[in-house]
Amino acid sequence: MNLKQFFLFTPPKGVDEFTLTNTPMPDNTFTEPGTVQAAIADNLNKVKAIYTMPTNFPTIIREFEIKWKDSKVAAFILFIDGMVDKNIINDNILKPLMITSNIKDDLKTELVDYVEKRLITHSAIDSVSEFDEIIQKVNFGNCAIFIDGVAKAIIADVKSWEHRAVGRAVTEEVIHGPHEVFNEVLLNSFALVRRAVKDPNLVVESIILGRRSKTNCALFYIKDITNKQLVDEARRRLNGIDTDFILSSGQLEQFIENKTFVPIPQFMTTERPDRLAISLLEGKIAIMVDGSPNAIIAPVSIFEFISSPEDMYLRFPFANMLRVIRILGLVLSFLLPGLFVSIVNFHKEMIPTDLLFTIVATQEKVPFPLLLEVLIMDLLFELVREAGIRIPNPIGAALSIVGTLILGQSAVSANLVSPIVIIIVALTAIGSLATPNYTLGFSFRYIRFFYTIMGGIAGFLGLIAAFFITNVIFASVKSLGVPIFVPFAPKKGAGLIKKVFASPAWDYENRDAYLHPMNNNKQPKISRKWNKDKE
Amino acid sequence: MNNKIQLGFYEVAAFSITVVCTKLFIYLPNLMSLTAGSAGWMLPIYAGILALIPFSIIIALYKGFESMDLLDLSDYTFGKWGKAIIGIIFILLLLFLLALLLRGYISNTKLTVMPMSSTFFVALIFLSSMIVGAYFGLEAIIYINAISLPIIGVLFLISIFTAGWHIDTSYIYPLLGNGPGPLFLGGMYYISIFFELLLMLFLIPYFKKGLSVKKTAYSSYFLTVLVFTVFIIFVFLSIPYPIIKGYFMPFYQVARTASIGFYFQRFESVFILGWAMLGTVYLSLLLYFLTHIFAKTFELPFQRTLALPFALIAICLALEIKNAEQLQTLYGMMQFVLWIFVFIIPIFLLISAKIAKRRRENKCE
Repeated sequence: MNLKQFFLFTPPKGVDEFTLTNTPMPDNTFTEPGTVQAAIADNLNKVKAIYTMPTNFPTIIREFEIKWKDSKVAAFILFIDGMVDKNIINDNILKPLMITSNIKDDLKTELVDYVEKRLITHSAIDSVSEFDEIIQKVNFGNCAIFIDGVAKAIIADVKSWEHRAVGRAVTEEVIHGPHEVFNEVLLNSFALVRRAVKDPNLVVESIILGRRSKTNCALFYIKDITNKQLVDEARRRLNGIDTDFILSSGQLEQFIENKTFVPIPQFMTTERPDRLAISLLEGKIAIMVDGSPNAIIAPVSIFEFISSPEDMYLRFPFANMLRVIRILGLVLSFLLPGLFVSIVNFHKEMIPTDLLFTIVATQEKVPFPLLLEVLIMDLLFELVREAGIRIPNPIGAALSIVGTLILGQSAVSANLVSPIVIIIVALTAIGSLATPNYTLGFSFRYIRFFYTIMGGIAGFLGLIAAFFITNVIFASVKSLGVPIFVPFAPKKGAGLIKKVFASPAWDYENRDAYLHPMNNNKQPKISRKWNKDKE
Repeated sequence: MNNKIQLGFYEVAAFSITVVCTKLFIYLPNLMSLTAGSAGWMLPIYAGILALIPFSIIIALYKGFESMDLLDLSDYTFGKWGKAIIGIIFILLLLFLLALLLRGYISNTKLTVMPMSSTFFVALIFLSSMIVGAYFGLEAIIYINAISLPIIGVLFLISIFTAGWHIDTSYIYPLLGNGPGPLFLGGMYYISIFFELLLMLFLIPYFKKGLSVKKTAYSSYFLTVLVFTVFIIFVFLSIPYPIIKGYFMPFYQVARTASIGFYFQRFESVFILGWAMLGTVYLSLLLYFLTHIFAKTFELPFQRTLALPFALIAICLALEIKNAEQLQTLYGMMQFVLWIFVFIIPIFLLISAKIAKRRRENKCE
């Protein structure tokens, strides 16, 4: 220790000197899969190389021997820990292969047939010779059995992993009607749909997406209802995705939609099996991604976003009443601040005199222009909402109270905003919360700012310009080849009234014309035959 | 599933109502009142009957050319040079019309709702909508028109009903207004109000499969004349014709008199909503057709990007018009010449195309 080190601290060299550079990985990290060889040692070495063993700890290779014609044949089983049911592997695969193979039996058959047909007591097995496929299956919770002298592997479906149980709806909650929703396991979701649609014509095509993630995707349709062109187009888009990974339906949606930058959903996403089932029965297609609890439904009309799953379970007068309220909420959510600013700034004559006095009196003390005031309050509300979602539930409620009550009250007391602006922003927020579709709600939240600015700078002319610009952009959008404003523009079939408002269940005789279904008729003109019989 | 735009009867009818009736809310009642006095309300009926003759000839001659628009026809008949000449004529015409209507909208907006804003700022608002509309194309504009037209109709009908207590039948007397001469001779030029139906001829290739061109064209025409007549009668019944003659929008004046109870005393701003929407759709359509005809005439691979330069040219021309008097004179001049382009040129083109077709068929035989 020198004198300097005695008085001063000198950090050790090299601690903070790491810099990420573009250094390539060694060439030998990638192993060409190829096919299964007859010699087990080759297969074992290849598997070890592919899975980077022993570094890669959850992959398990268990070596054992099978007794065959008085000799011992080497074998090994490959699986990934945590993705398989070990009891099945022990009881139905390893035990028979290691113990039952001792019994005297007819040994004239080939070893692999003997193993498959006499020893393994498991329902779902398959023989595969390509390593690519074997690896894909093992990575998806299967196990692979390699036997010396056999140039293929036996694959057994032993999937079992921890997952969320079928839970309650989060974004599509209803009071009447079923409460169960999809979970992250594709097979469970499929079972929920199949339970609702027992039609043998329901087809579920499996498509693997993602070069590395190899995510299982399912394309749902009913083959004698859905237009073939629609299915072909969906399949074409799915097969045309070239990416490393797809992990969720939201990500997939972006890969298959036409216009990415347009702030309007081009597909319906749902977490409810009943909604998916009804869409399929209408003649639509649906796509689900393993690991994602939402299904994508296409094609959709913008008017369908107004409906809630609950509408199906309510008597139609009540459903319509709710829809009217929802439409009102929707309009408030994007138009109210803009309308308020434009009327107060440019069209004061519209306001009744008494109300105008009140507004002017409250505005007098506020130092900001009205447009700025509304924009600030709107932004603050979005901030509170975003913060409320991100933080844990108990604190979220507290934050909402702090945000809305205390912040709002304090802002008014400090003459930073006028009380009427608080009312306008609160009404807008309530309107946006009443929007039945989460993604559409998002669109309208952001469009609102555009409307507010345009209304604030040019009054009704600005609002009309904003309306025209946003809607021209929306009108150019197609949901899997169908214009989003269908059935009103272009006009198809029953038109707007039947799409916006609910009809009694017996009145839905035909499927939507814009879907060009192969079978247009849902039910006869008189579906309540008991009524006719009585006459 | 099909990428090509397909227009049904509703979209075509809404299109023709919008393109013809928009002028009604800008300058036509003023001109009609100047021409025929208190009998101005008869002019759309008279012009509608007169225009039916050339319109029928065009529709009849169009048989066999349903997949072609006017530019295709001129190309088919006279070759590339013919197409270029016809294209340039329509480009200049549409540009002139766009500039004139744009100026009309800017002036009226400044007079009614934005007196404190600069002309350029008001122009900018219209310009932004027009450019976005023309950029996103015909399909989007026509769909928006199909959606917004019923809403605009409801707004205007509310204006009519709430201002209904002003209606006075004595306003349309004397029945022949300035006399039979100005009414029937001067009124002949008003067939030009159907100039925009010419644009319908550019839509025919986009008609839905199975949609009858003849039936759709006639139905749209009669609907347009009907809507036009209803509104013009209403305005002539609500305001004395000397007031209509002025430079101020007659319909706005009617809307100002609307009354829907003690609490909501003024309604004209709601009228402005519908009026501005109609104008925005109309101006976007004109700009779209301008870029479409230009791109097609000169066989350009791009059309969307032409929206900005043409909009800028139109606004420059529009701002060259100095005052309302000059604007009114130009509107009047337009009525005198437009009928040539809407009826004479298409009839000439169609007859020539028929002859060319027959010649080609004979040659083949």
